[in-house]
Amino acid sequence: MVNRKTRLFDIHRPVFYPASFIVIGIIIVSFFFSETIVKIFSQFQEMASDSMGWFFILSTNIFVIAALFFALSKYGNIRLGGTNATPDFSTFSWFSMLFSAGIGIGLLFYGVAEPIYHYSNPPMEMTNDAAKARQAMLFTFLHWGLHGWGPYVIIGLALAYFTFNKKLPLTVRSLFYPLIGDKIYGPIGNAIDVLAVVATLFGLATTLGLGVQQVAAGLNFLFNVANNTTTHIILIGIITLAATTSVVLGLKKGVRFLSVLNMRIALLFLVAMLIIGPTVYLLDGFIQNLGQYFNNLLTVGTWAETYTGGNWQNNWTIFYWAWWISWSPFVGIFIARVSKGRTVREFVLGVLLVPSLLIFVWMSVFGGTAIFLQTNGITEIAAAVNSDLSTSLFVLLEAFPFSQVTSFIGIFLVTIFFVTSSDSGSLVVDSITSGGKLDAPVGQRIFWALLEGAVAAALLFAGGLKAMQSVVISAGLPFAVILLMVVFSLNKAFKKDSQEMRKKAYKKEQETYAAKIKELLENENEDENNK
Amino acid sequence: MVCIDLSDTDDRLVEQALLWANIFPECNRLILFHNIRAEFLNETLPLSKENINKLMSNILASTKKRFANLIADKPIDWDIMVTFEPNSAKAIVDTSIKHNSSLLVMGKKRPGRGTGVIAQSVMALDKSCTPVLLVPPTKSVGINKVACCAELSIDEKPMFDFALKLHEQLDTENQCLHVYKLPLAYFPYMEQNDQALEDATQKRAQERFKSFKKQAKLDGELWELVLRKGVQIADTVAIYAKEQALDLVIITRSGKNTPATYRVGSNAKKLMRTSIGIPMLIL
Repeated sequence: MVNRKTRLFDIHRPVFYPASFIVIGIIIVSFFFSETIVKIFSQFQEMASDSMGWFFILSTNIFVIAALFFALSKYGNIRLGGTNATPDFSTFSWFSMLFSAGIGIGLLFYGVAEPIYHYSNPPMEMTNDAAKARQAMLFTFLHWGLHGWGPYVIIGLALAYFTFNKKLPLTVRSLFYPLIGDKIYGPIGNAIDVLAVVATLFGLATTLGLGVQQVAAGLNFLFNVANNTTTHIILIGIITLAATTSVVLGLKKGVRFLSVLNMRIALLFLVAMLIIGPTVYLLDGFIQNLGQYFNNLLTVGTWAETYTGGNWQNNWTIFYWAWWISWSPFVGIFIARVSKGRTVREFVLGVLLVPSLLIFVWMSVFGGTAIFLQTNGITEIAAAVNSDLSTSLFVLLEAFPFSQVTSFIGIFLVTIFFVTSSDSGSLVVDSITSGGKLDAPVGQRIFWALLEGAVAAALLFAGGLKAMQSVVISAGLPFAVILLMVVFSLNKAFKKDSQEMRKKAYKKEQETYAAKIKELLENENEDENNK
Repeated sequence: MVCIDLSDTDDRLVEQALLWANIFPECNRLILFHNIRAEFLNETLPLSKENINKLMSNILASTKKRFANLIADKPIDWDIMVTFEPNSAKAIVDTSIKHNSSLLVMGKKRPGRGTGVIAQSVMALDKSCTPVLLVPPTKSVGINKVACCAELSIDEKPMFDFALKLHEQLDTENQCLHVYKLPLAYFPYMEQNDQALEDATQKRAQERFKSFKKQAKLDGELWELVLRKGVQIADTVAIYAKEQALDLVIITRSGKNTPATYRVGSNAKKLMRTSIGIPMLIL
């Protein structure tokens, strides 16, 4: 792959130009023809959700089953980076990084909002409050649990395997090598990478859009700043500038510092809420929610709203699956980069279970507290959530002492998550648009960081949360097809590798042993002949 | 009990077994055991029933001939057992339990890759937790320098007691090797050379060793604590063994974080899978 290099850019032209063209095109159209673009995406979303909901549900289940199959079969022993590779990070550090990849703006946005929304608008008809609360937590766990992490496992595992074991570039096109061979370097490979860039940018933009809505809601709560589109777009501008500064400062001073800081504050926030909240209720709830989740995994994992009708699932489950899928190239590349030296079994179980469990703790603490306050009539959170999801965290914090301080910490956390997500996202998009390089020039990262902010602003301007959901589902659908093909591609590569490894490992030992036995048998015959 | 595989490594295994029998006089019987590996022969040399019997008696005869001179002048009884079972690991474990074996000696002969599948399966299957000595193909020169790989947990006391016995018998130079990792790196691009963090981690390990010695009632004079930084314990031990010309590495089956149900701890497993070039005793 020949790149065009300048002082500020190192680009793989067949990917960089089409991806930039599509993204900039959508930004322009969103600003100038917002109604038309919202209409087009809404129609596409409607079509995708109504007609292809089953496909998203089936795909996520296939990803989880395939991931578990890879872990528990003989392929589980394959080591990423080759037989003698050793991990770059200790297991604890690795788990911490997986957690930092999983925890983000979404958790802060939906941690309170989602359980309480499902509680007040139950997806399946429930007769009493306890059943509604149980169901709310069950669906929250479903949306943030194994099914969500399945796409990350598949793409992360495939990227790590093809990059470290097969020495292919760290881009999505490499995942198709077993299926199309050297054609990955041609137009098909370019198209796959362009799609990955577009999916990543829209996935990120949605998350960033949610973050801005929440920051605005928080500022409105604390300082009475008007919560409208103008504020949102100004906030995106400010936070994008912060992200760009982080990019310019470099990894060590910029994003690394912020990531570590953010992780610590987030964990402190979680522990504080557990302590000041109804602690025993939350601990009881966590255990019960966990058991309930595993007990009902198959039922809710395959529930397709067939006999009840309605539109609930399109707005929640299908949106979530599309969102996770559109984030998968971004998180997948991040996870792949830190997982060299792990076996396939360690990788799958680590990526599937550890972050899921930590998210379950988060959801149980924040969601559980919200349900406790609502069911005991302490605070009316449900009404606030139904009118505006982004205010949920602040309404919850208001019920506790020092709400001004905790709300400010909440705003700070969302802002920093925004900056680190944007920075890491531009790192990943950079890698794809430079043909798999890990050290693209800083100018290129600034370009993508600015573009991410612009996409988020454009989508908010065009139609708020609804527009973002439409775009995510539109980008997630084609990428789900790609991910399904990756499952087959990976299985094919593992099968070949496993057969070769087995043959190679035993060949010499087997030959020596068989020769020895043959010699012993012949000696026996000779002895008998002599007799 | 020595698990022979009819290769050149068998001489090393028998030499080591005799050395250990000499150190511990309560070891009064040596069993040389071999299970015919049908899985290696099925494709190239399928065996008939008649051939199996012939083969078994011939392995007995050739093994007896091969080791007679080596063992003859030693004050120890010895037997050879040959079986034809589909699962070699299970055959080894069953025979070991039946004969109440006090030490299993097995080969660690795959260069760069450590122990083969059978030794790992034996460790996993053996409910009686018989100590296992893994011997590489290199020639043994006796036991002078011994390192106990420790996480500094009180569960590891038997390992130190055993090393002390070795010291009493052979006047070995004993070391306690502790491999540590720097804690808390949240981000993949974090550099791992933070000196302050490293100093604090080392200081904490020293303190843990001090309290461990007190708890385990170890003689402080005899034990030297060696601290090594490494993400992978097996690789760090392998490098250290080569650098210090160690003669034996001892490790316990399971570390402090491993539930008892998992019979072989992750560190022991990793060490088994790595070629460290010297015998390794798993207690």
